[in-house]
Amino acid sequence: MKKKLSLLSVLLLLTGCWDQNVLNKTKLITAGGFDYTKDGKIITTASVPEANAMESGKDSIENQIYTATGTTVRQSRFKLDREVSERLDISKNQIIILGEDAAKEDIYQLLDVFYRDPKSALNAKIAVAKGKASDVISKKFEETKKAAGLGEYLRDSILSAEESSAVPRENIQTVCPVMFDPGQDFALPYLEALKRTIHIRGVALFRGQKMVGEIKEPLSVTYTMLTGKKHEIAMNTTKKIYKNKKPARLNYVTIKVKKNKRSFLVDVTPEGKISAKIKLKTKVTITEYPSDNLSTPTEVRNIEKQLSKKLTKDAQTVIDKLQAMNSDPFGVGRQVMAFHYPVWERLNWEEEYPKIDFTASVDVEVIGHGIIE
Amino acid sequence: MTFFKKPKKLITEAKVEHDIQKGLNNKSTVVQNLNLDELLTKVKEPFSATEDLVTQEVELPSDTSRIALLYIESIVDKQLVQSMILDPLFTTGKEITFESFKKMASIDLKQETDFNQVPKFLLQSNTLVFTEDTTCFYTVSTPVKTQRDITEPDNESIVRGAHDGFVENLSTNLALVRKKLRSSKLTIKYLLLGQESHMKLALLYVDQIANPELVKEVEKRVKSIEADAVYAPGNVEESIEDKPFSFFPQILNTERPDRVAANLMEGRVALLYDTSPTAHIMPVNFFTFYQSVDDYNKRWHISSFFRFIRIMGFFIALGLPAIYISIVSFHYEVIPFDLILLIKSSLEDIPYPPLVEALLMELTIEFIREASIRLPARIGSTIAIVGGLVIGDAVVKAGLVSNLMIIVVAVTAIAAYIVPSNEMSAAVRILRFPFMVAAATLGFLGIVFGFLLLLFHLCRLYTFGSPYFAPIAPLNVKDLKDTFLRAPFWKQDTRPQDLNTQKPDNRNHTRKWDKS
Amino acid sequence: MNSHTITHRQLFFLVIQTQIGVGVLSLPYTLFSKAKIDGWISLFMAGIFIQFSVLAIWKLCDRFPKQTIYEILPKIMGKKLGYVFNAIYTIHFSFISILILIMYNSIVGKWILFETPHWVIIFIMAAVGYYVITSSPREIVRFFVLVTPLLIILFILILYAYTDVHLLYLFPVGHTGILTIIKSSADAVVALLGFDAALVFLAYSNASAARNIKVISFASFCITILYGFIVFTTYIFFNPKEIIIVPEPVLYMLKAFSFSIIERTDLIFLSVWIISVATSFVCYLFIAAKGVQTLFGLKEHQKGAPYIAIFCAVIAIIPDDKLEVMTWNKYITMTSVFLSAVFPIVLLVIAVLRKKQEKGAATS
Repeated sequence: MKKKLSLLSVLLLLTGCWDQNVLNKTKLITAGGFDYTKDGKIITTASVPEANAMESGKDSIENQIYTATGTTVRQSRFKLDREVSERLDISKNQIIILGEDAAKEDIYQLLDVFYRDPKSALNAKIAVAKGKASDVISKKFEETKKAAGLGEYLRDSILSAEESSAVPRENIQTVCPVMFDPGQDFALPYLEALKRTIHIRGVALFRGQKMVGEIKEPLSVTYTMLTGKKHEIAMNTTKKIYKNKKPARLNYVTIKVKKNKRSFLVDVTPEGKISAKIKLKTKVTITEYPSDNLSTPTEVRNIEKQLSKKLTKDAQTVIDKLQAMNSDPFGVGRQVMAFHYPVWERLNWEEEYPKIDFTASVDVEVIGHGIIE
Repeated sequence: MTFFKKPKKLITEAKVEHDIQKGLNNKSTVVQNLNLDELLTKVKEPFSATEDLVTQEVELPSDTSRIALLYIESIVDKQLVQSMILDPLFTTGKEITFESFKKMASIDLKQETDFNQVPKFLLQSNTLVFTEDTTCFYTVSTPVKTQRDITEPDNESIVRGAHDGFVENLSTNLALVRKKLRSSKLTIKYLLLGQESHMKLALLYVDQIANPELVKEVEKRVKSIEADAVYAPGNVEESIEDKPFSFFPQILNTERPDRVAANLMEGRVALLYDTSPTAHIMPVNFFTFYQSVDDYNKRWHISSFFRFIRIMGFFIALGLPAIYISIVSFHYEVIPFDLILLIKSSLEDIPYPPLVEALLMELTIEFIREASIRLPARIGSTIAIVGGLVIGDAVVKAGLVSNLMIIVVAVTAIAAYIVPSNEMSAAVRILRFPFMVAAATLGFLGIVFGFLLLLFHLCRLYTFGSPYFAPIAPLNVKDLKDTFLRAPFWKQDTRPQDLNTQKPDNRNHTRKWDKS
Repeated sequence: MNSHTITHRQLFFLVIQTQIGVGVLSLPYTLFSKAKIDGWISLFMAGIFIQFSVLAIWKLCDRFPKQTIYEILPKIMGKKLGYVFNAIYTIHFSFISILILIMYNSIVGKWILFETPHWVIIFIMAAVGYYVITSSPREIVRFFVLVTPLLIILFILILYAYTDVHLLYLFPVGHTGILTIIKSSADAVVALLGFDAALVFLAYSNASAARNIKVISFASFCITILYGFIVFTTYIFFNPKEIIIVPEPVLYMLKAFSFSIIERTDLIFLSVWIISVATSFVCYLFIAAKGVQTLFGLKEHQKGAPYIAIFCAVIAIIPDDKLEVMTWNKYITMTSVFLSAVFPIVLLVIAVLRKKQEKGAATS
């Protein structure tokens, strides 16, 4: 008992030493951005929301922006730390934005610090910005004026884009395994700061650890569908299926994807010729059809046919673009590696991929059309 | 450690008996061939010159022989002396001798020969009758009935069920238990404690159900108590419990006869005290303290839910402030982002480290609680308002404590009082402080080690030979029916196995009509 | 009341709790560093191998019922040699305890408490270990049973990884070559150690011999399956190239998960995992204390307990950088595989050859 008491008193004396870092003595970074200077140094921009507690209970948030330059990410972080009064903390970071130039270099070099630090937030979103990342972060957006912190706003924008499948669902951790995979590449959301809002341009495609190109917004939905993702809450797209109706809006139909099933076939002929084919079976409901005529089965069949044709065409466009960029986000190489390892070992995949025969077909089935016919 | 240890002497029953007698009559000698007057002087000797010891001499109308009544005025009902002794002697005619009086008088009349026992009888509210035949004397029980009404105990009030509670009178209490448990096997053993105070207590068990080893052990421990005075049941509790340094109560205190009766039938042993409404039940396990009589009068799903709430209350009361401290000062990464800004803004201007902040509020709550117990009910509620609302609000406005801390402390305080047993609630309230310190030192690691130590302490604790943390450790799936859950009556067909009862089957065979 | 026996159910939980320890976190990494993506095959092979060790241990203890390894050794090897081997085994088991402390310290220091001095982290565990082993085996085992449901939390957390897995990472199967797979299964045996607790705790079991073997073997089987599940999960979560740079893949995997009420699940996992580490540590510390009792002819193992706990803690403080930790790890695991997994088989062979058997033991 005496022992316990003395142990207890020792503990009492020791509290507050060592690892304690109290929440109110830290500044939480919620959005961070990386750019390169002309001489290859790293510019880190960080946004820290500072809550001004108000009597009424509703806090107003002010986004403070800090910038520092350093040779490495860590070095610039240290400099940032010296700029602010309290300790900067990265563990609640919501989003990392890479400037376009930074994304075109090896992005692992920027992200290493996040993978290495036990406290870092691996579930933060990661996105590429058109232009400079610092421009996005230091911009005063409409929504960030009052309640929302900048990190929160950017994160939520990306989340809503994910829900409509405009961009794939990725975070710092999920891109990591793919980044290392020689047989697969990845894509990140591609942002652009407009005057008062953030705009999701589409997806930025990567090869290895470098950005190689982009697919713009309406087409990026097709891209996400091709990754074989199950349907999302708001997987919507508007497609032009006729050419010559007047007014122009009658040419369009808007669909909502209900089910999306992918079969992915990768074949290697005995001669070593690789062909890949993605077949999508998509079940959709029609949410808008200004032509207003869905009562006959033939009309529905017709729309299905037109949609399939249009989507297949789009899919092929996406694949062609990917091959042109030499980016392999669907993991054709992974399939080859897994099932045809000897072939894989012989190949130089980077050279081979643009040359393979890669096709896609989409088969659309309309399963609903709202509450009117 | 060894300094505190109670000497574990085995004291045989005979020796205890002998000691008590020695304590009672260390002055009296053998009484022989004395006349009545001399005898009276003799037996009064052990008493100091107390003035409430009354000697009343009467001459019987029938013969010339004298008799003398001896009693202690303050603990004897004079009405009873009149109606039970004097009236029969005087109103029934001249021919009455003492011999015939004996035949027709009260059933309480007993003939005794051991004059050494005189003080004992006197102190037990008896009126002693001495005759000229100085070889023996007679005792009539004439206790004064200074007793309050049987009311529901305030500290164990329930919604549904019997609303009677023990009072400060042993025979009434026994009557209450007997009424609940009209069994020929209910056994009551009287014991006297304290060489001077002579507190009477009763040991209750149900024969052929309770483990005889257990009964023997309890009796041995109680009888081994040597003290001039044993006043409170708490004295006994502290003298017979297994681990006096444990924070956890190892004997159940209750003032409810139904609770005593139910526990007796499960095979436990109870101690009832004269002069105190508290009964002790042993051996108990941890989960007994989380049961309430109310549970058995509700629908079983509801009771099971409440059991669950109580166990949850245990963990919250123990761990919530610690978890708050460790999260705020070590691992704020675990808070979701949308919440962290809220927490951060409420914490922003607090000057103290979280441990100090928590200690400050926890102690304030304990102050309020302690103050409101001592005060009369009307002022008590004022204190609660001043303490709870005014201090709580002002302290946040002054920026000493964050409003989140107030929420944590309030929830913790409420959770601590969910426990039906006052003793367990106190234990939990004390134990949370070490947890807070551990959390402030090592964060989650500290809490984990705290729980490890606590759980292991519970695992190695025994009360009267049965494991304290049963039926969880050792795991006994069958006994879980009345711990985490409150299984319906028709499922509760065995007695708790950790008690090693003589009859494990309690013959609950209800709902037979439903079978076919 | 005889407070020293344990039931066969308790024996099951004892073996399980001893087997799950520090190994869980780094097993996928250690297996991968040799057998690459076929590490999970090595694990299952190790699982089969330890079944033989388990069988040997059981047979050995069955020949000498109600006796611990420390009592059996002198009977098989002769008094003097037996004493030497008793000393070796005592040191061996205390070094396993030390290894557990070292690994626990390095992981806690790396993942949660970066600044806290190592001696504090180690001494707290050692103090808890001391407190626990001052009681009887029955109470220790009760405690083990009590904390076992916590494993379900670990399991559920890992299950969450299946929201983002790439099954293709497992292919091509068997590419590493059977020899490498077999070689690296030695590493897997280390992670599965814990069945050797049976060397001592079988003596306390009050169940029949047939039940004992069923229970220990089934416990080892369960753990093999559980580990297999963990290794499998991490292999399909991480890219093969990534796993090489992630020494604690399980934690790393959990770090990225967040739920709406809680983020950084790795901290929750670590907190629960510490309990599993504590159980293994306590078990080995108890065995070591038993050894000390035999060596010095003490009346109770409690007398030696504080010394062995302090000894372990002090030694565990010595290695202070990562490379040193790895060196210690390497040597201790090597001896462990030999003394805990292989040597019991040798002992059994010696016992059979020399026809050493205690009277009353079942002859079969």
